[in-house]
Amino acid sequence: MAFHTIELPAGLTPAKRRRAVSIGPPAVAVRTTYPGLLRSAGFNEIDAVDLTAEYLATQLRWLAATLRHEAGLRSALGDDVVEEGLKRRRSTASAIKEGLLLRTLYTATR
Amino acid sequence: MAQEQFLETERFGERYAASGEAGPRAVELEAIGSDYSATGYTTREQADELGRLLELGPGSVLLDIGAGCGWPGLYLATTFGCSVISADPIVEGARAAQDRIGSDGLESRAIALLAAGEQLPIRAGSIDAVVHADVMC
Repeated sequence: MAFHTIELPAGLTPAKRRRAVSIGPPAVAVRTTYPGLLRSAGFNEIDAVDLTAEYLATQLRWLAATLRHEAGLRSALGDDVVEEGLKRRRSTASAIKEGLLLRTLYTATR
Repeated sequence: MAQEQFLETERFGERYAASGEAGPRAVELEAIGSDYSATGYTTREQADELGRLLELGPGSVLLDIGAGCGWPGLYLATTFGCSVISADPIVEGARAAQDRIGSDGLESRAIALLAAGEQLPIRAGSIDAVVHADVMC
């Protein structure tokens, strides 16, 4: 198995955790760790590679491309969807820079 | 959490329904190098790395959970020659993936399922590799 996922760093203060959960995708609120989930499902040889720097770079590319093609996106998706998407991507980029969100590649075998 | 998940599902459904539109496709190509109506962060290079790590090739069967319109599973099938089951619980995503299977000529080794990861109609032992990209997040 190999997968990319977004998660919270260990050791966040309660205030930072609340902020991370409010900005990140819904499942970052889950307190179980991915290695723990994989082990409980019978996987072993679990490996994790931090992709957070690439995550930020990709998020910034999404933002730049969205702004470059904003008119076409508004036509295809509607103003509300585009504005919500821009807001979400900006706040996520800030959270990544603040160290509140990580992106990880997990691999495991069974 | 349930309401957030509902809103996420609705958001993805709207996005998948717009698959094929020129504007979203151009943005996706610039951001991650794919054209499968993906909205996440798995770049083409990272998808290639997934294929290498999973040792995909002709004869292997890949399950892509939460595949949306087919990224990265259908891309990996095209690139590495494996078979793929592309599973997504959102109707618009599974329908777009099935359309993409047809347009990419993958009918003999790809199928799109309307199914969530926790309830997959797949026999144990029939899958060689599993992939998902920013699904459990």
